[in-house]
Amino acid sequence: MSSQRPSPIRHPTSDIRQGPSRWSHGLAWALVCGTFPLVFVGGLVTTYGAGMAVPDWPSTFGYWVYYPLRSWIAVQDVFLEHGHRVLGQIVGVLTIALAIVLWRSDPRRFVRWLGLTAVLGVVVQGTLGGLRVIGNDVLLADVHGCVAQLFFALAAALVTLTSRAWHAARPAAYAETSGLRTSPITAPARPGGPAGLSCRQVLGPALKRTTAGMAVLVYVQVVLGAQLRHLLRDASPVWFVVWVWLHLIVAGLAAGGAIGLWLWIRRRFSGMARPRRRAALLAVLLEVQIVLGALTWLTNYGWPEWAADYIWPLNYTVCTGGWQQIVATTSHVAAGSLSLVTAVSLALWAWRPEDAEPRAAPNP
Amino acid sequence: MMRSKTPSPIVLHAAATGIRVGAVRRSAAGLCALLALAAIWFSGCGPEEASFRLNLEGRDPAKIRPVQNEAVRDALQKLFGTPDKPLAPDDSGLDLALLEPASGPIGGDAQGRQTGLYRRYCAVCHGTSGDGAGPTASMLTPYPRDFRSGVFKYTSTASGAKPTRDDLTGVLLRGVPGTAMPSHIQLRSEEINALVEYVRYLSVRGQVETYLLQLVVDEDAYLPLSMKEILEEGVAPIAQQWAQAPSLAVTPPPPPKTDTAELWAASVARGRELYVTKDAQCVKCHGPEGAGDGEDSELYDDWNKPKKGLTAERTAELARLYTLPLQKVRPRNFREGVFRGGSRPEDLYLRICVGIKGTPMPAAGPAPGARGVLTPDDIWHVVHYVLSLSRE
Ligand code: HEC
Ligand code: HEC
Ligand code: HEM
Ligand code: HEM
Repeated sequence: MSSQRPSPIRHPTSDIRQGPSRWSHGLAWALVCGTFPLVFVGGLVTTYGAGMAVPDWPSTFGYWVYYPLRSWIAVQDVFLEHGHRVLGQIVGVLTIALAIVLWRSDPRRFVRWLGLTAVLGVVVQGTLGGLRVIGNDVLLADVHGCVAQLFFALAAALVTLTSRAWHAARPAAYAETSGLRTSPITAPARPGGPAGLSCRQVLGPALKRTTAGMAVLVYVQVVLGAQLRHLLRDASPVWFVVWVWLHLIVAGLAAGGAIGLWLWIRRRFSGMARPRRRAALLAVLLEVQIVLGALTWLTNYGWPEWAADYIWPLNYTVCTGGWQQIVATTSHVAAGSLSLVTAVSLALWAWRPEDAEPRAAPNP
Repeated sequence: MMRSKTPSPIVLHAAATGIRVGAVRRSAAGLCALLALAAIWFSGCGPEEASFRLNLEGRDPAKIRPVQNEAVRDALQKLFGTPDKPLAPDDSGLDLALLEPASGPIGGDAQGRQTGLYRRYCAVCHGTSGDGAGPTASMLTPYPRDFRSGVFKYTSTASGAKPTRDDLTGVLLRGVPGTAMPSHIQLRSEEINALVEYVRYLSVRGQVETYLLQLVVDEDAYLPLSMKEILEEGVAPIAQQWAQAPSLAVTPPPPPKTDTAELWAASVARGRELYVTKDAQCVKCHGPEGAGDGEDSELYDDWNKPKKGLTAERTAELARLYTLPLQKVRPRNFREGVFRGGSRPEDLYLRICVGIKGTPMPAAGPAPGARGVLTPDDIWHVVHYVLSLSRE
């Protein structure tokens, strides 16, 4: 909120600025705050290989509603797997509550439908998790991991869409207060005069396309990462080579692209504080991801032989379940989710309607 | 799109995003249908039974008649069962009760007792069949061990002998530094014991498999095979090799005294002299200064040697018959100070004394019936020299 200076233009319907309902925004935040630990603990379950610690579902060792706390915390694998299920239930309830509130109070139809999509998502996700356990099926674990990231991104999108800032900070305000940076396309016809076309009008479609493309690219990268985590038993060794190379290539594209995108937004859309800040965050996250990815490789597959020749010899032994492996892998997965959410949020802000333009201005 | 008479800004807002409500609804319905289909599809599959892959490395599958294939599979299944339900012939020396937690599908109970340890911790690299060609294998240098030949590198037993249980336990606990092979120090000792027994199981099974393939495919044995013959001529000698291993183990004798700087320097100097002698041959592979740059640079271990033809064309032709591409083995660069079989002086003593099995690295120490090129004291001096190179 800090970036918004009070708009000099009084909006005729400023009472609506608060958004459809404070409840929906609060609930959306609660959902995101519940989903991140859920995704995180899910990642730990995978990293530790504890996915089959509890062999039954929907019950846990035959207990339906309440699995005794003492048994739950006694065994690490069970602690993680059952904890993941409990978090999943909490998130399920939150999703349903949010969908109800959105349905009843949000005037935007697509947001109401997004709320319902989230309910569908959580049901499908829970079922996938359960079937993965019942079938002891790694392919399902893979799909479960990929859908989880989509769900998390959706929850985060709902936070943005229900936020006050989304409703209140009309682009009119920032066109007015921060001024577009002068560039050939936006230079006013005469000094001090009104700008011709705003940068946004000219480059807006490009911004929309690039940010959406970036979000898709990051998701593709997350899916590729999931292929590295969920190795199918007896898959041909060729697949792993393919996934690793694709994961590396897309990592380069995404991390390089994010820097480019950030510089471009900074140059051309300097007035748009939110996209600019998100683009900067995304660039940082993706650069960090490269380092974390390398550490993840090191702690899972060791220091490559060529690295001893070309970089330096490192006397390192991989340790299954060792803290380095757990910390590196978990951070890499978690930062992957955060990158996706950042990319989605960036795209949303870039796609946000510009009601400073005449066609949408409700001014009589 | 704007149906209300006095459109609220938010509706306008939605309209202006260009997101068409109808489209959203249609795609939501589409997504529902897709996910539901996916759920039905996957739930239908269920887990298929795990099975062992037949060892066809280096053989052209087209040249093996289906009856031969079946005969080998059948005999193996009768003797050793399946990954989900392993069996062991009576006098194979394998302890089925011990290996149980390591076999079968991954699972656990409320007390934290785990099953399927091998599939949980090892199969991604070593493969369900222990063929060293799990899903990750081709990205790793060196490749994960193919257990089926029953040859292990870091052992304490005389050249050509099988490893002891302690040797395998050591590898599991220590891992193999500088390679992808992890340390499993976090596992409980019962779990390690089960995994060691499972590695032995896969090895014995793999050796019997090789015996059967030779019998049936190469010698065109009369089918069906007689179980009695297999047990007596195939299983028994292999079991015998494994049973003998502990009696062939070498225990490093106490090292010569090196408690003063002069004694240490003298030992290192003596080690250096021995290292460069013609007999020891170390220089040929490890180079004059131990940097791993000897003149013999085209070295292959026993798992890769058969993939190498005399000409490049032949090698390319052979590649078709193997799962993993040809890979070289490199003599160790002592200056890096990364020793894969452990870096304690006793570990290095064993490496030099009994060699690294399955690789060109020869045994230099005395063996039953052979004097060897180095005496135990000589070996200690060489160990000190090797160690001194990374401690400079
Ligand atoms: C990340 C891949 C990876 C995993 C997981 C892994 N290994 Fe290995 N393993 C290797 C590699 C690579 C080697 C070859 C090292 C070498 O040749 O120096 C190896 C070698 C071995 C050896 C042979 C050592 C010797 O003396 O020759 C044994 C035994 C072994 N692994 C057992 C296991 C067991 C049991 C597990 C599961 C608990 C396991 N490995 C898990 C990669 C792995
Ligand atoms: C024919 C080539 C050859 C000769 C001769 C040879 N080595 Fe090696 N040596 C190797 C190779 C190859 C390896 C690496 C094996 C591997 O990584 O699988 C090795 C590994 C080693 C290691 C590392 C063990 C570890 O735990 O990492 C030591 C120490 C060693 N050699 C010492 C010697 C000494 C001392 C001699 C002379 C007595 C010698 N070698 C002779 C090829 C040779
Ligand atoms: C809506 C809720 C849920 C979300 C968002 C979610 C999310 C996740 C995530 C992110 C992972 C890690 C995947 C990876 O690292 O690639 C995971 C793993 C897992 N989840 Fe869930 N999960 C949910 C519900 C459930 C439920 C109800 C179960 C019931 C059994 C379940 C069972 C599992 C299991 C067994 C794994 C481990 C998979 C493996 O072995 O790799 N999840 N989950
Ligand atoms: C822009 C950069 C990157 C992003 C956004 C990214 C994202 C991810 C994500 C999200 C996962 C987990 C997927 C899941 O659980 O669903 C993953 C896994 C993985 N990534 Fe990356 N990654 C990046 C770069 C790299 C790089 C440069 C490497 C280097 C080798 C790497 C190596 C790995 C490995 C080895 C895994 C599997 C972890 C495991 O086995 O548990 N990544 N990546």
